Amino acid sequence: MAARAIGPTHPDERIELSVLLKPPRQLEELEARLDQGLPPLSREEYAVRYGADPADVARVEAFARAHGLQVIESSPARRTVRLAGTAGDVAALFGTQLVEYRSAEGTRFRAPTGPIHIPDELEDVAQAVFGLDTRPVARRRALG
Amino acid sequence: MAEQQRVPLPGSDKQPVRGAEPLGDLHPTERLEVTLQLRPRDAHELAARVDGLAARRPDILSREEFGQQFGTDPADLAAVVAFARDNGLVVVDASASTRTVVLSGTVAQLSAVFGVSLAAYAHPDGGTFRGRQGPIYVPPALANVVQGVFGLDDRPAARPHLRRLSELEGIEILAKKPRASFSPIQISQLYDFPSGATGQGQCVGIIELGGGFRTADLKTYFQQLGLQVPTVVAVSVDHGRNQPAGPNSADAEVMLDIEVVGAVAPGVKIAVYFAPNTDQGFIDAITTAVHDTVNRPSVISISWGAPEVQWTQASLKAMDQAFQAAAALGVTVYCAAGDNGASDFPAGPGQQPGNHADFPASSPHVVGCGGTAITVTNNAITREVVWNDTGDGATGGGFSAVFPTPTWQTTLQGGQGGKRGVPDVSGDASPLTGYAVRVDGQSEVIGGTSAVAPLWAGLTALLNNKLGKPLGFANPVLYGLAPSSGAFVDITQGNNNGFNAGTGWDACTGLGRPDGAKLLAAIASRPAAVAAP
Repeated sequence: MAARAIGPTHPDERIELSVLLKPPRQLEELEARLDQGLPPLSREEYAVRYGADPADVARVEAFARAHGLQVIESSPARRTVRLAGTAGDVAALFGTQLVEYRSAEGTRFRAPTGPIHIPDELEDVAQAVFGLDTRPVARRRALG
Repeated sequence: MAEQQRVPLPGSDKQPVRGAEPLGDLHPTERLEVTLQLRPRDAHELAARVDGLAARRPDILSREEFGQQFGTDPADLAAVVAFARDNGLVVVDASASTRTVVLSGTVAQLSAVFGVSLAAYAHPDGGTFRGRQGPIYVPPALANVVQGVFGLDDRPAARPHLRRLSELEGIEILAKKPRASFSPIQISQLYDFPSGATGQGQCVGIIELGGGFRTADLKTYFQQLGLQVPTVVAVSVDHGRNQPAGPNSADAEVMLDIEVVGAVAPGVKIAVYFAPNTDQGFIDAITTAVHDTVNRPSVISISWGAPEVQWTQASLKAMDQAFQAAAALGVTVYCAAGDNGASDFPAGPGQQPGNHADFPASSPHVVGCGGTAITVTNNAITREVVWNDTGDGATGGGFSAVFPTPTWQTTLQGGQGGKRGVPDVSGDASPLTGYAVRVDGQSEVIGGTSAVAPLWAGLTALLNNKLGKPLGFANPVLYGLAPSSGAFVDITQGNNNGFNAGTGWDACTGLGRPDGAKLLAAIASRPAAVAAP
């Protein structure tokens, strides 16, 4: 997919990130349940047992606020904390620059230039951070 | 319908296609749309005007002026609409300015109303078509009003579709003119889905990364199928929302998914999770659906994907973990296996060499859905092969480069590089034998493996009703069923430009397409899982 750089993301633009937290215990345990054909867990049971550690959620929220980001929502079951901030703050926090592109199909997206540096405080608790890069990922499979 | 007098419509007599072979009657409940052309309000003046144009007296009317002066007389339009309604037909569209009335009805209704006998024929040049012989009949009062009735037959006007396909390469909409189309209800009947269940009490989640649905279209669609309109709720994820975008947009995907699920299992609640088409949006939509404690979907259908190599490791891991959670929660997830054959890339710039599995279908925690093409005669499938419309789409399928062979696949394929094979199951997907759906006010025929994921999702809602508990993590169950159960009809013919179909599981159609009733019986007779100590 050939894309054309339009220019840097405006530093005041609002960006939303989804921080995926590390699982609180080995997910192999979950796989073993599946292999044994054990009955399903309820959503509530899953959230308690395999959802994010509340202490980890609290750490991410505190880190975000300390760096001028807003906490949109936290879902322990989804192991997800959603944050919002300006492009300038977010780029500085992750040691990268954000650039706007237009794809050959005409879709506008942004992507970081160079590697992303996950801040140490997040590194311990976050498995991944999504939202810096907004390029289209999937195609629909309907043909008509 | 009262016995009514009919007169033949002048000029409507059709002669048989030379060399065409009758294949049998059409299914009486198959729905067709026909277009009636009505007389202009002032035919003499119109003729004079056209003569004038020919004589180079440029006196061109605006579209509005034309409509007012030469459109249908409102009384004519009303008479035709009343006639249609009296005979139980649905008026899809009535336009005075274009002088057309579009009607929808079943084969049985339309055959009776217009005094024709419709049948399926094999064209001597290949393909099948719907044909009729002799004139079309209309009531005497409408004999002068209706000038033509189009769409009762769909015989090729020139050469067969296959040849036209290559001639029209690049003009996708024209090229994909179907040779047959089916309502999802017909597919569910052909595949013998269990009767006596509607999916009541089940919620099916659908992930959409664009497009939207219009409630009026859903209402029309399900009412025309004679079904209750299912409850459909839109769930906004990361500011994605239900946003119909018009022709040639992702609306086709959204409507296909909802209409197939709803037609197969009209009692379900459908939760559509709309998210931006980014890795963030996709992942957030999946985790939102899986952990949704409001709608609590027991089945999730995903018809969006991309070749595995195009995903980051972080995205693959995050999504697979979310599907693992779904499996642990007893939520069955179906994913389309791709529409570009074993390559999984559309031909052209950006295509990467070699074969690629499509993700998320290649996650071992989801059921990958491949495609077939069906031939139907006398309301039964007489042939079913791997979907591969040469140069115009073929089922995805092959082996993951990321995920190792799951325990439930080890007996199927030693020597396959130790990787997960996809798809797991299949169903009709060729756009040439596609699904009749309604999108943005239009009737369309759509295929692709996109249709197979919601088809299986709807089937699973029925199974969950019948089993009295959710099917849950389906792959170990499906692979554990004895071939002698007949739960799957093995597809053994065809290829996807990389792998061949054969006896048993293959990388084109997986275990096969479902025989719904036998699938239910086979699952129900499994020994119960041993409870945790």
